[in-house]
Amino acid sequence: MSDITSLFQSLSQCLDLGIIGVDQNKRIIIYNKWVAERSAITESNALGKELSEIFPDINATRLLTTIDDALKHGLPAIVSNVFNRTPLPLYNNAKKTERINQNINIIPIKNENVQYCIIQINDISASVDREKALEQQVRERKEIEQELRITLRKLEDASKIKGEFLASMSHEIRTPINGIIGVTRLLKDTSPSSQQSEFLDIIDNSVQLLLTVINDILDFSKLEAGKLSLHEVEFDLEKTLNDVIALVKPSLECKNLKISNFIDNKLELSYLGDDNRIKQVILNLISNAIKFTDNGEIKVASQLIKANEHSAIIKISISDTGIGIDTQTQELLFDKFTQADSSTTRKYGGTGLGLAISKNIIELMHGSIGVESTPGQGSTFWINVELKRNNKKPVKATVIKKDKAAKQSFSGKVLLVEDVVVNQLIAKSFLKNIGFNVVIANNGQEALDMCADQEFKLIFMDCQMPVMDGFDATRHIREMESDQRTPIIALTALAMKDDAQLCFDAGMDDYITKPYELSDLITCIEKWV
Amino acid sequence: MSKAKSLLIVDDSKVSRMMLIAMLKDLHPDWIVEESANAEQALQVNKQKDFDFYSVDFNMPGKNGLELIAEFKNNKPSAKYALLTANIQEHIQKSAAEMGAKCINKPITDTSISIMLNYFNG
Amino acid sequence: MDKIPQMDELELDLLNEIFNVGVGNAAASLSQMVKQEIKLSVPEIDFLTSDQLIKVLGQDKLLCSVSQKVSGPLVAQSILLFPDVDSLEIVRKMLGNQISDAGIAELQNEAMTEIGNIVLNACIGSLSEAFSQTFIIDLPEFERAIPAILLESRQLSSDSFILFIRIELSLSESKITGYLAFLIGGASFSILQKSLNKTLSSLI
Repeated sequence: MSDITSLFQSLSQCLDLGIIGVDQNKRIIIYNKWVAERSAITESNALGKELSEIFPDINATRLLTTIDDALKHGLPAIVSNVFNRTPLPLYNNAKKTERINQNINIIPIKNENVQYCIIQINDISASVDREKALEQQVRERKEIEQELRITLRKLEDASKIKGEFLASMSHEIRTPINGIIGVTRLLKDTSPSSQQSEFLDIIDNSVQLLLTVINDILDFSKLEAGKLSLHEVEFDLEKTLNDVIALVKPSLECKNLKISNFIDNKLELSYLGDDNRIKQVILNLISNAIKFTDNGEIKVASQLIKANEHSAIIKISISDTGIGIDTQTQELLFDKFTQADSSTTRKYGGTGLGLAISKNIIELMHGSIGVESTPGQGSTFWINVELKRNNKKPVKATVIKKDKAAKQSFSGKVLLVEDVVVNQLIAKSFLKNIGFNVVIANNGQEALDMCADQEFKLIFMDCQMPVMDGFDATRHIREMESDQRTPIIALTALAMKDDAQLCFDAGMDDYITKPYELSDLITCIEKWV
Repeated sequence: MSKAKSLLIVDDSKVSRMMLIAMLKDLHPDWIVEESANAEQALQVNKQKDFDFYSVDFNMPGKNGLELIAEFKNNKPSAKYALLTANIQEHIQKSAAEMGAKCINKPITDTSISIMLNYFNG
Repeated sequence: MDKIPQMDELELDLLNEIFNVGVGNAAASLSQMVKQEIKLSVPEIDFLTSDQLIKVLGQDKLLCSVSQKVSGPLVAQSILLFPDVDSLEIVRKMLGNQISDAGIAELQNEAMTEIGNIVLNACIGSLSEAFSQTFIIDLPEFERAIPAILLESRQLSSDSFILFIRIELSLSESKITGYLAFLIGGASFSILQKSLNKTLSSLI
C-alpha cells in the first residue's frame, strides 16, 4: 500500500460517511470504519478482496457498471436512492432487518497514471423516512378530502330533498288550513254566542299563526332552492305600508301599542317592484317589533336616500320601545333559526326564519337590511332598497277601504268548479254573500257539461281535481267558446311562481291563491265584471 | 472457394460506412459491397440487386434499422442480417432476435467487425 | 464570439456518430435502470452562440439542467437541459406513476441528476473511446433556472460557443425534447477538431 493510500485510509476513518476505495481491478484498498460498522465486515477482512467478493449482490447492478465506467473512462457517477434502492448490504442495526437507504457517489481518482475509484456512501434513511411520512400524510389528507367531498354532496342532496319535502308538505298543509279558516269565518256569520265568538277568534288567530309558519317554511325552502323570484309591478308605497299596518292593527290593539307611519315628503309614491315581497318584509319587521314590545310605540319611517332619473334608494325603518338586542346577538339575528336567545322561541313563538327570509328577499333585490339596538330601550330595524321609478303614469293612490268588501254587491250566475266539499262551502258562501248565484261543478268534466248549455258571468276553477283537472277543463271551454269569452279565475293552492304561468297557458285570466280572504276575492272579481 | 459474397451497408453516418468498408477490404477484398445512407435508398438498391448479407444501423432518421430489416426479410428471408447499435436495450435485442437478425454493438471496432463477420461466414 | 468555427462534412459526421453511440448507450442504460422501453432519437448537431442558444431554448423558459465539467485534453462544460415541466414528466414516467405530484417534485433534483449523469457520461465516454483519451470529469450538478442564468454560471471563456445537440426522448407514450449542450472555448474546439481528424485518419 502506497503512502498516499494509507494517508487516505486513516483520513477516511473519521468521516461520517462510507468510503470504499478500489483499484483498477476493483480490489478494495480503502475500507473505512463507517462501512465496517454497517456491513459487519472488518477492515482487515475487506482489504485486498475484490468488491463483488464481499458484496456479491452488486453484480449486474448499475452500481457495478458505474464503477467500471469510472475505472475505464474516468467517469464519475451518482447512484441515487431514487432509481437504485439500497444496492449495498449495509445496516443500521445488528439485526440486519432493513438496509440503509443510500445515495452513492462514484468518484474516479487518477494517481501516477493509475485509475482508482472512490465509492462514497451517504446514509439518507432519515430523509427517506421523512419523505415517506410526508407522502403518507398527503395520502391521508387526500382520503379525508375525498370523504369530505362525499359527505358534502350527501348533505347537499339531503338539503335539496328536505327543501322539496318542505315545499310539498307546506302545500299539503295549506289546503286543510284553507278549510279551517273558511269554515271559521262562516261560523262567525251564524250569530254565535259571545263565548263561541271568543273561541272562534282563538281558532282564527291560531290558524293565522299556523299559516304564517307554513308560509315562512315554504318561502325559506324556495329561497334555499334558489326558486324564489321577484315580480315587477307598479305599486304605491304608501298603500303598501298602510296595508301592512291594517294587517297588524288587531295585535297592536291587543297589546295597547301605538303606531305611527312617517313618509318623507321628498318621496314619490309610485314605483316598480315586487310590492308583495316588500310587504312581507315590512310585515315581518313590524310583527317582530310588536312581539318584543310590551308598551310604548312602533314607529315606521320611510326616507329618500338618493334618487336619479331611473331609480330611488329608499330606507324604511321600524323602531320599537321593546326589550332590545345586545350587540353579540345582533350579528346572529339574520342567520336562519336564530332568535335573540333560544328561550325566546318558547316565550314569543315563531319559526326564527322570518329575519333570514327577509334578509334573503332584500338581498335578492340588491338591497340591505340591518338593526341598531340598545338592550332595554328598543330596536330599530331598517331596510335599504333601490326601486325603479315609475316614469310612466303614476298609479292613483287609492286606498281601498277594508270594510267596503262586505257590502259590495254583484249579481248574475257564476260557476264554481271545485272537488273538495269544504272549499265548495267556503267559496259558495263568500260568493253568495256578495250577491252571486252560484252553480257548483265537482270536476272539470262536469264543468264542461254545464258550460255546454248554460252561460256564466264568471268561472272559478280549482286546478287539481279528479276526472278532469282545471287546466284541461279550461282548454276545452276555450275551444268550445265562440265569440264571447267567459273570464276564468283559478283558485289554486299551488304557490310556486310557475303555477301561475300554467294557469295563463291553459287559458285562464287570473288567479287567486288559497287560502283567500273575501277582500281578495272582491278585488279580483272587480277586474272582470 | 465459392462465389464472391455481396453485402449491403445501410448507415446514415458516412464515417461508419467508410470504416466498415475499409475493414472489409482488408479481410474480404473479393466481396461486393454497396452502401446506402438511408432506408429509402437501401430499398431502391435492394430492388435491383441481391445481397447475401446486410449490415444495418439501428438509429437512423426516418425508418429505423429494425423496420428496414423487416422489409428486407420479406423479400430475402435467407439472407443474413446484422443490426448495428449502441442501444442494447432488451426490447431491441429481443425484436432483432425474433427477426433472426444479429445485434452488433457500436461503436464499430475490430472486435465488433469480427463478431459480424463470424456471423456472416458461420 | 461572433464567428463560429466550421467543421467539414466528415468531421461533423464522425462527431454525430460519436454522439449517436453515446445517446444509444444512454438509452440502454436508462432503460435497464427503470426497466422500461426508452427511445432516443438520432441526435442533431448544431453550433450556436450563447445568444442563439438562449433564443432556441426560450428566454423565459424555466429549465432544469444537469452539468458536468470536462477537463483534460480539452475543456468543456457539458449540460443536459430539459424544460422544467417535462423533467417532472420524465421522473414521473420513470418512477412509474405511483408517487404523488408532491413526491415527484421532491425527487426531481435527485432523479434528474442521475438521469443527466447517465446521458452525459455516455456521451463523454463515447468521445473518450473514439479519441482514445481519458478526461477528468466532475460530478454532476443540478440547477433550475432560465437559460441565461444557467449559461452564465457555466461560461468557460469569453470566446466559448456551444456544440448543441437536440435529442428526443420517448418513454411510455410521452415524447420529450431535451438538449445537450457542450460549452467549449476556441482553443478546445481546435483540439476537438484535431482529435476528430486523428481518429478519421486512423479509421480510413
